[in-house]
Amino acid sequence: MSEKSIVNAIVETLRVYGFTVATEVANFYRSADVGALARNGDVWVVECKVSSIGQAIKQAKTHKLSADKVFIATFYKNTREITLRRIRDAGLGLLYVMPDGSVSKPVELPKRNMPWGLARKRLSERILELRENNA
Amino acid sequence: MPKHIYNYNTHAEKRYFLGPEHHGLYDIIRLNGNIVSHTPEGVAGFLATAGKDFYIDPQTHAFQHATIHLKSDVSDKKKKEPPRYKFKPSIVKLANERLGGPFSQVIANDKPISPAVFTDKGTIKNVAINSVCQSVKEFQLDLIESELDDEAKEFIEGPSGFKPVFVIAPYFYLSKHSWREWLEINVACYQRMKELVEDVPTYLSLVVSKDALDNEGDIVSAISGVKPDGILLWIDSHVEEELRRSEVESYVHFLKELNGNTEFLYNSHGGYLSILLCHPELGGILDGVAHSVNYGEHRNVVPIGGGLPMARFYLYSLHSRLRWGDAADIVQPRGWLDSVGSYRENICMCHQCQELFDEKGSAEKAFDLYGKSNPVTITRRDGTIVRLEYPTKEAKQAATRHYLYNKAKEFDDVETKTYNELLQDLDAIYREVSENSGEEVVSHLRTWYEALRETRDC
Repeated sequence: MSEKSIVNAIVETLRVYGFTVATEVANFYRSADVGALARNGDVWVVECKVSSIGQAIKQAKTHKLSADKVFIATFYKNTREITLRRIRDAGLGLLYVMPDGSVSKPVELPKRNMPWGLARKRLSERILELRENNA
Repeated sequence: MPKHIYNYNTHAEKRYFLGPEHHGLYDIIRLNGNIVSHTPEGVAGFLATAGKDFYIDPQTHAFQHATIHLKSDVSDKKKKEPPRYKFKPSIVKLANERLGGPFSQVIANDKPISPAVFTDKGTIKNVAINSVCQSVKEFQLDLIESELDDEAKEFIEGPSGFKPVFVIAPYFYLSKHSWREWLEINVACYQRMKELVEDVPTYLSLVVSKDALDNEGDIVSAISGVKPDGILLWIDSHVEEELRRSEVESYVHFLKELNGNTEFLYNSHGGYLSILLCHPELGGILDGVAHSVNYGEHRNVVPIGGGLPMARFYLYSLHSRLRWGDAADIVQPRGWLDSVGSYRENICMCHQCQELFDEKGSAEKAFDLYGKSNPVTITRRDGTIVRLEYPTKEAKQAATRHYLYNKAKEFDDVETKTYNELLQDLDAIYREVSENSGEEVVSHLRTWYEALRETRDC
């Protein structure tokens, strides 16, 4: 089970829900594993990790400046309560990729951030640009 | 007044040393021996224009490390040749044409200098010491002046003519295991150099590993025997923001001990912690601090030179070069980008930022420019795709100028604010930022505050 298979599952799921999706999106000198634009214009970022959720929380915090919602995605497992709390406290969401490739949300969706307009616009443009280049 | 020293490492940095806007921001230029050796005429012209005090670091320690650190890969990567390392031309020139003797033997034999070159069964070889001191002295005192023609000399007169403000005795790194042998050699070199040089002061360069500092008493004792005119201190990989409280206290203690045995004590690679230690109320524990242009507040002893880091945003209140995203994460949610007034009050009021306000029309657009980048897509050998960002030229230049203005302000503050005010500032910003953003990027402020408060009371 690799990080790539988590990314693939997230990309598939978001596309089903009508998102425009790009992977490895440059953002604040960090790379967002998945960047997605919803039909209503919302910008989502998903950091995918097999392990090291703590590190993912750190990376994901910066993305909050430019995305309306930020998630950490990992394989389904029994995540410790303390980790779940850290994710919630950081204002992030958590997504599990299940053994059959479906995606579930073990905690409630995070509240919408108040991203920085300029940064949000740039991230949206980069997602669209990457989608066009890959089309 | 503490001396603010800029390290001049490449000619590409020249613009940040010259011109009326930069000239008043610093006091002394430190030239690395490599660049002086390789392009003396270019350095002479630069110094003539800069009109500043300067000194030359002969970088003799470079020749005691594994020679791989003096080489670069010259293989043709397009042809997928395996790595092939050759001595860098500038190093060859420094060794063969400037320093000679045991330094050129490093190139000829592809083996580093060992203490045995200067000692025989524990006894210093005076002939060897004298020889290296002669060449190192000539390199520092004569080379640049010899590159200027008479007409140029007539027109140009720096604050100290074309002599450095001091010369540095040959020096070697005090490593964890062989610090004692090298210290003895360094002291012998200093003594001989002092005898050879009459018209300018002689400084001792003390380059030391953190582990060797466990033997602080022995090091200070050896130095107290010669009482150098000045000391340039360089602690390997001494990242001030990462120090524990006990390490800050040890650092301060070491400085105090050294300071009692010399007239001038400069940190060759230091940040705000070191600048604070120049405060007059502390009796001048340090007399000056050097850094490079938007980097170089700490430095590893090896590799020798190279590797300019990416541009970062210097956030004055944190006294730290932050990744631009981390800086944005602090300033944007607090509303510091909401107006020019708020930006100036909370972030910065330097000329660079002001120029950007005027040009871009708003605080947030000005700040945004510091993060402007060009994304680059890289496909790794395993097929994975990585997207990196490189700062634009405009962003790098703006970040560098902003950094230099802020560094100058730190030196000004040390002279105009009380020590207590500056300590309280550290504590206040720590509390403000850590409350909502966590301790991660501000914990150093608390560490410094606690250690320096105690230090002052001692």
